[in-house]
Amino acid sequence: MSRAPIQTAVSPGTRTVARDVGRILEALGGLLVLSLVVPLVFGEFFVVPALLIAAAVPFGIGRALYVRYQDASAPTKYHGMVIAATGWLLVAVFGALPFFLVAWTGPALGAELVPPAASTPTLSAFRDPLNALFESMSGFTGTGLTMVDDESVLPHTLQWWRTFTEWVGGVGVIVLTTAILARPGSGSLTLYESEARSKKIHPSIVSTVRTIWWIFLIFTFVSIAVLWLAGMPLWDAINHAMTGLSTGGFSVTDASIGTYDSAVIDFALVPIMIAGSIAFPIHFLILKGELRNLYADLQTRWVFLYMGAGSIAVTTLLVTNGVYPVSLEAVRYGLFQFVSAATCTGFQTAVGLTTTALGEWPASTQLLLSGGMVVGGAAGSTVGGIKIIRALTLAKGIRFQVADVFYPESAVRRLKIGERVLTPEQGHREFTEAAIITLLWILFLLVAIVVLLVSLDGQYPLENVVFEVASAQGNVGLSTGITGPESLPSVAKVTFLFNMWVGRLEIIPILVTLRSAFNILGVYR
Amino acid sequence: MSPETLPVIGPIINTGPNDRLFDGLLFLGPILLLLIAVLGRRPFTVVFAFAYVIAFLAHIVHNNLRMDAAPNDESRRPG
Repeated sequence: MSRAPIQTAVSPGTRTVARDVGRILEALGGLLVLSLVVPLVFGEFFVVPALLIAAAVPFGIGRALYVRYQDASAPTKYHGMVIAATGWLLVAVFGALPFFLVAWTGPALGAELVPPAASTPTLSAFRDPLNALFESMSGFTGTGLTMVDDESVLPHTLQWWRTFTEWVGGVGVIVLTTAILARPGSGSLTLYESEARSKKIHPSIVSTVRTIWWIFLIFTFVSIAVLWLAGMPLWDAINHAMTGLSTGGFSVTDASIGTYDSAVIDFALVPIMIAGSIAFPIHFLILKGELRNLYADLQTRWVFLYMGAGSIAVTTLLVTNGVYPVSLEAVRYGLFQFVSAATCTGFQTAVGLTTTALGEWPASTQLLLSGGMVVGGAAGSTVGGIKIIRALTLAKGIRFQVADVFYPESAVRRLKIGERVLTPEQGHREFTEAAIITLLWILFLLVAIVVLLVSLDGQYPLENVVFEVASAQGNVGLSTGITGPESLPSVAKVTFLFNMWVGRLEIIPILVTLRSAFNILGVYR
Repeated sequence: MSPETLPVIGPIINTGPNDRLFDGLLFLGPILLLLIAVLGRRPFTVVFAFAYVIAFLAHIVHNNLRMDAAPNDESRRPG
């Protein structure tokens, strides 16, 4: 059979998507090869075969797709959305291979090569492909919910791979929101046009991506130095700096940041998490000397206002509910946990080991943290949630609509968001988009809450369930103890996989991709 | 030969805010980590790490003061 009929069966759009997804898979293979340094440094040679296979599979498939469709046309924004949604899903699928393969091949390589860590129940949880996929999706979406019972007994290579997935995923989402989703009305490109007075970081996506990497790298080095100076061991500092800056929240210790029980480390992490929640184009301007953007930029200003107000509210609730007396301790836990929730990082200091666990905090506090997780930080940063700009657009839009009743019909009114005065068309478009995304967000949240309530069969109170679902969809990673390899039913794991994916891609690209897929399959016309 | 034309260093220097001190800190980052990994927590490594963080923060403030002193600078213009 000749190749021509097969090629014509594939639409031009699909060819473009296949080619670019192929490049993404090739890059994933490259990241896994790069990660081979870790087993070599730590002498974990038993993971090398698994890592090599895990690298070869996506690289091979990616290379085949790229070679076959390399002459495809350049992607449009529609293709960009489909590539992002498909790419994220496939990267999560193939990124699960190291967990799955190490869990199966490690112990099989013989006792003399394998340290006790490779035979723990923690690692063997990844023999279930669903657990491995969950971990990978949680990493690449920057969520931080985990199937690992005790992170400290994992081989260093898998600790690194979990961290690396969040770090790379963090850069990915900045690129997504500043380059691909930065369409009029999304509240990202338009924001930078007027607020930061800069259309994009750079005119082309390639140089934008390079600059984001540059900023991310230097911030990572500074964060590592800060955490090490605060008292963390170097390996822990490297991992927590990477997952803190990318607001992912994976840890290398069993009780997250609570393991250190150090106020200095807690306070050192707060600015790192906040840095991850500020739009990276704003970081670029700040590095260039425009420090005024810390208060002049609408989203950045609100990051500080909202983190400050939320932390005070959580601290007050903790004191009034008798969890802590009026003390620095209440401020320490209240501030850290609200910032961790609202920046969608998911580091936890309120763990049962050292203090009152998060799952035992009053329902009002848990719901306040859930609210923080739903809103998130600035668009153009590494955070999840609906983003501050959409929340502001919604709030101001609703006020504008209500106030409209009190004006005569002939009155010419404009919606003002920050320094931007929108035309009626712009205002309508941005308000509608913010409303649609928020509505869909809440809808997916409700579906997951129902699934969790039914599958858990009343084992956990409603506030715990709402908290856990908001954490998954907001790509946060804080847990009340529901998520775990044994405690979370399979149906809930699958639901959370979808929540994490939807949360990271901000819903619309996934709906566009699903509609395209249904179109191709002839299901939807 | 200028650093901008070197194979690995060139593209990194040409990216970011085009600031030599920040570029220098970026290249010093891996060296700092290597020193800490090899020497551990010693007075020298602590001072080095501290100086690294301070240099980063101080340079942001310095850039801001310089920008304030030159309000009509080209780099402040949009786009």
